[in-house]
Amino acid sequence: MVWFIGVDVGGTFTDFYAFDDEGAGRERVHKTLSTPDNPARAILGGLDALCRAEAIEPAKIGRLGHGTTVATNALIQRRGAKVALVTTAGFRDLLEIGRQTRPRMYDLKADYPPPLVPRERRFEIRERIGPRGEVVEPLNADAVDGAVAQVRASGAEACAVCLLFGFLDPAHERRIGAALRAALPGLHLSLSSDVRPEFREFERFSTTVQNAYLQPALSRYMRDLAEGLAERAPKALIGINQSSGGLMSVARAGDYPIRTALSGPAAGAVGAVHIGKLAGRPDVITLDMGGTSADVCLIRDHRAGINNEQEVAGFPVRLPMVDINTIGAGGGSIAWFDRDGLLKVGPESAGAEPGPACYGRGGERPTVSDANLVLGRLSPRGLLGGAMALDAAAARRAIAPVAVRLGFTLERTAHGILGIVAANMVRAIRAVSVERGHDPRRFSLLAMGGAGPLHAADVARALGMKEIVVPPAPGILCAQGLVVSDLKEDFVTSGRYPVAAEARAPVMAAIEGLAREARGWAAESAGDAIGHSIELSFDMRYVGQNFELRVALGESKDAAHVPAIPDAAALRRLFFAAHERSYGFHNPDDAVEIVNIRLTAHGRLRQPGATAQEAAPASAPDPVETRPVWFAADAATAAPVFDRRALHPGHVLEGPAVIDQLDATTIVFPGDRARVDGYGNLLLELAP
Amino acid sequence: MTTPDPIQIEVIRNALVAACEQMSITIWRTSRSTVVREMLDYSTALFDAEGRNIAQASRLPVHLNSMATCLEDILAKYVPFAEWRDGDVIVTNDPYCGGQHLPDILAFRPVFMDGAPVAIVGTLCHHIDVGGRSAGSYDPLATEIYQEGLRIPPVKLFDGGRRNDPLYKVILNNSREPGKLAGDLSSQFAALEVGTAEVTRIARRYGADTLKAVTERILDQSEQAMRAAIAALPDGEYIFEDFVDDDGIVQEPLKVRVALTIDGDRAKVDFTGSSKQAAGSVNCTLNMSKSAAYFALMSGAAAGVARPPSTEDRRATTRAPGSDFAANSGCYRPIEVVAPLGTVVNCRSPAPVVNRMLTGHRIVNVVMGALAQAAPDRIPAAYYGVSYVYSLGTEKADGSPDVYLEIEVGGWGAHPDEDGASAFSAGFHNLANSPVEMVESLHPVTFVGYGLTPDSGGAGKTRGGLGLHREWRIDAPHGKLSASLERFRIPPYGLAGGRPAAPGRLVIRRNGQAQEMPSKLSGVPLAKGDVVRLETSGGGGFGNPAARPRAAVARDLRDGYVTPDAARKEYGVGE
Repeated sequence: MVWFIGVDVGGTFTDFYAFDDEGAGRERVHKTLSTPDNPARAILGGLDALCRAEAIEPAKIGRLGHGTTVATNALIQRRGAKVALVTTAGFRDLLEIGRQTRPRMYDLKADYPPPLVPRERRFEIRERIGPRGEVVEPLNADAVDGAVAQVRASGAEACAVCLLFGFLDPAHERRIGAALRAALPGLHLSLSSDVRPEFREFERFSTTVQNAYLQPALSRYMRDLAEGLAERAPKALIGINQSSGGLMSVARAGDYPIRTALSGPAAGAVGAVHIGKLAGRPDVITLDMGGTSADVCLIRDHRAGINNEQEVAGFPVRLPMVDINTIGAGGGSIAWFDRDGLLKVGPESAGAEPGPACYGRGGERPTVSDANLVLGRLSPRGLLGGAMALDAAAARRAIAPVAVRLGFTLERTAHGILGIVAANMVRAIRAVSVERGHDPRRFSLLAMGGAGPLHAADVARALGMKEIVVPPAPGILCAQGLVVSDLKEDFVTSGRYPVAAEARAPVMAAIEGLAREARGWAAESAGDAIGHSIELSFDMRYVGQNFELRVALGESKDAAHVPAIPDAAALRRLFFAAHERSYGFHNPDDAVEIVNIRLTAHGRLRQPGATAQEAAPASAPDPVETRPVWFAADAATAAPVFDRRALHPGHVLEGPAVIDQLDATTIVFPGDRARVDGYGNLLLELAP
Repeated sequence: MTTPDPIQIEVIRNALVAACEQMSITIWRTSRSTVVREMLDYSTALFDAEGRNIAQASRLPVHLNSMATCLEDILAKYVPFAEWRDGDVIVTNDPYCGGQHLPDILAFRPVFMDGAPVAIVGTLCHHIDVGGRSAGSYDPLATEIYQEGLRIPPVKLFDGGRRNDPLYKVILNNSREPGKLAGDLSSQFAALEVGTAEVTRIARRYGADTLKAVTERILDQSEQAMRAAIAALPDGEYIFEDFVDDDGIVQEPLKVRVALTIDGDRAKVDFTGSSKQAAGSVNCTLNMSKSAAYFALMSGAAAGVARPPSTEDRRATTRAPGSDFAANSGCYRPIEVVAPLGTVVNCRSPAPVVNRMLTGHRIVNVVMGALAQAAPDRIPAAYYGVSYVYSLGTEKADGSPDVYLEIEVGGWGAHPDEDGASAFSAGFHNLANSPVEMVESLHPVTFVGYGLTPDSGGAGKTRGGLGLHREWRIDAPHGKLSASLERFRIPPYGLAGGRPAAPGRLVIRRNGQAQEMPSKLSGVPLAKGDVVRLETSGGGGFGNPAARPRAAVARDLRDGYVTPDAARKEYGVGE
């Protein structure tokens, strides 16, 4: 027996998914309350409980993949370290000035959050590097000593060193870092040339400062986790999920905690890719809807989109992160009337306490869950096997005032609430699909999270999507994703290289530098990985453009080789095609340049095998009950309700139907049809 | 056709705003000049076939609230809608035909479905150079519009999808930076293409009739919300005056005066009594003045009134009054703007207008000042009130011209209950700065400093936000500096006993000698090694400085936002 375990730490719960790789693919699931003061406690305690309950021998754990929202929550709640900043003389306010645009045009109070380092701890140092990496003003020893003294006196726990053009020549940042490390051994350090060696000072500084802000807490957490796991499961490979998907080492996560800013949702994307592979669906859009928010993510050709320009808690983070769009739409989202008389739903949520009115815990405001209950889409008994019944009368009481104001029936009002929340999710999906040049009608919608399968049909229909995939356990897909993640590391170099035959040498030299780094990384992970591969891509743009397009240049199947590089004419053609695809035009005469060269190294891990099961006879099982469900606003239809556990590969259900399971409810509309594939996924075909 | 219900309206409105945002993203990602791609000086919006604004992307209110008036003018006087065909793009930059100033080129394209008009999509971009006497087309010493650059009347640049190449070449040939101008125009056209496809998709999905009914309702609802916001203000006439330092030609302040009348749910904004039109380029056309007045009322009338319970929704960015209802032409209906022809707020052709933002910001300042009398507990003191524009013209190695253009901002006025933000876009523009690493990579300058200026925020019970300084050295052998600056003499006002902010200044240092410069410069020669330092004004303070909590003063001292000297003088702390 070798167990692969995925652990996903959320704000409320820590989820476990265990897979026995050599025991006929046994799966185990466990859930425990998170311990925000030291997240490692819930992980280690939960792991012990899981092992006891399922008779798992900890020494037989071969791998543990971990996803976490600890960094995200620390940023949102501003509970990070006391940070100091050392920066080029004349520029200590860059961090506070930011980029100056306000997010809400007509709001007289719209502002960005105050910087994570107050002005009194932002220290300037005389030195200067120029735009070609040249030293304009050297760094002298007295200046370094002065900065060290200031940082010491400030009492900071962590320090960010951010110099102008430090990404072109990191020598000054490194000297300052070395002096700080020597003088203040307990201080956590982040250099902008390490964290994000890329152009544009504010975004680089901001990313670096956030990294420093997270370092003390995250490195403590990572250390505790590593030590606790070393005792229990000395043979296990520990991988921490990065925001871009893919595992990194515990040590790296402690040094670069900002890379875990979207660790949790990225695990969901990896889980979705896995399900897509099993179901034979290379192109899916995920809809991960929980109690407060919904995450959507576009997966194309079995890969999640990556974005370098996201904000976390109001601060820009310039790192590759899975392109996930999060909106305030969940089961607890509250319906309310705006000043102009329009009905809105969310982003405010009733949360877990008091929760929706139907939870019967004192909530009185109408929520999405209440609307689902009024329409019969949720069972008054609550989720299957759930301990909590839902209070239908309370739900009706909460919706009634909205209905009175609209002059609608309760059901039509509830239907409208679901229509609005679906519209919000449609907008979120459009942002990751249409706005990036992808037609959602070519994708399947992958419904996950507790509420995803309830709303997927409304969302899919509004976007013209034709199919919905509901995985066997939509509620724990993030933890499952961690079991199927591979190792990954990104290597990037920033510069400006014209796309021209005579400019090939510096490009080749830069690639060789990255390839050396990648080979070093591959050698380190050689014991764990069963194979390596290297992907090469260029970020290219027209000279003068602000925004680059990623052009993929292929993948090699081992770490020793870099994919072949096309000649200048071919590179231009690849870029033109990408520009045409993204924006609908290109100018064949204009000059093109490369601004980033990227190598992504993957270390493939042994993955749980999965085999399709034989299809059962095509007849469906008997429903457990029939209940009235309002699929439309005007009338209810008697819909058979099925227990998901009774559905087996090959089973087909014609809508209307409701499928209840432990962690979710799936709605099959009249005219739609649900089929169970060989891996237990529900495939819903939507009627045109 | 059925009457649309509130749910359908919300769904379609979201879709229309999303179409505008998509146009906006297209411009941001594909444009070439720093003005557009870094400073984000552009806007995108959607109109009905009568030219009324229906939806806006979150960019610059000054553009957005003038585009409808411009389009209505084009339809009424220049190219009636009957002449618009599928694939046409109508462009103009003429301030006297509804434009802003010559660098701003507006482009509109009609959307047809099955031969019937559905909507018009529009974009406005500030282009890096459209000719005229100085680099960047910002000549503060111009006395006629003819000196400010190429003037394009409303005309079809694309006719049924075919570009009018001779006209296109005329436009490019008049620019110092034809490559960037062409690149940014391509972005505008691409955005119109994207907008057309999106709106067509929406119209197909819901039907042209439903879309039309919904747009009427969207406008009506915004009108009702605007009326409700105005009605919540006490009836009366509120008078406020403020001044523009000078017009660059005549060294005399120019008065902007407003009499704001609140009468039930209607507002009259009367600028009678403002100075007559200026010899220099600070004049506003009526369209521009309306845009400023609309913005001030849309953001000010309902400021601080009940907000939605939303904690964070960055996409809900185009909502007007109190940020909780949609900004569009419906908001303008209860507002009447009076501005006598021949004044600085309604100039006559061929008065120069390139620096219309100086007076435009002052219009926002005075309408806000008048509103503060009606709602003293909600309206902040004056923000910096200037687009701090400067440009440096140099020669590239191959002898072709290089234009480095910047627009900077200052501090927000103090709110009645909190300090103003420092160095942040306020009022009816909304710009981003250019990264130092970007500017130095592209232009022959080296930055010496970029930071907040201590003591620049007006003292008060709540403090005004700080202005900033931007300081650089020229590395080219020679250059020419032009600048259109303001608030050097007459600082942003404080309210309720709060002190005014520090004024801005411009200093050139050469061989160790510092020289204070006037606020408007045209082509001042610079030599290698000269250092240029711009300081922008902060925001005014609110309330008596003596009432500021000591802890807040102490924190300001620790952070260096206030110097010990100023703490003593303004707050009586530290004796």
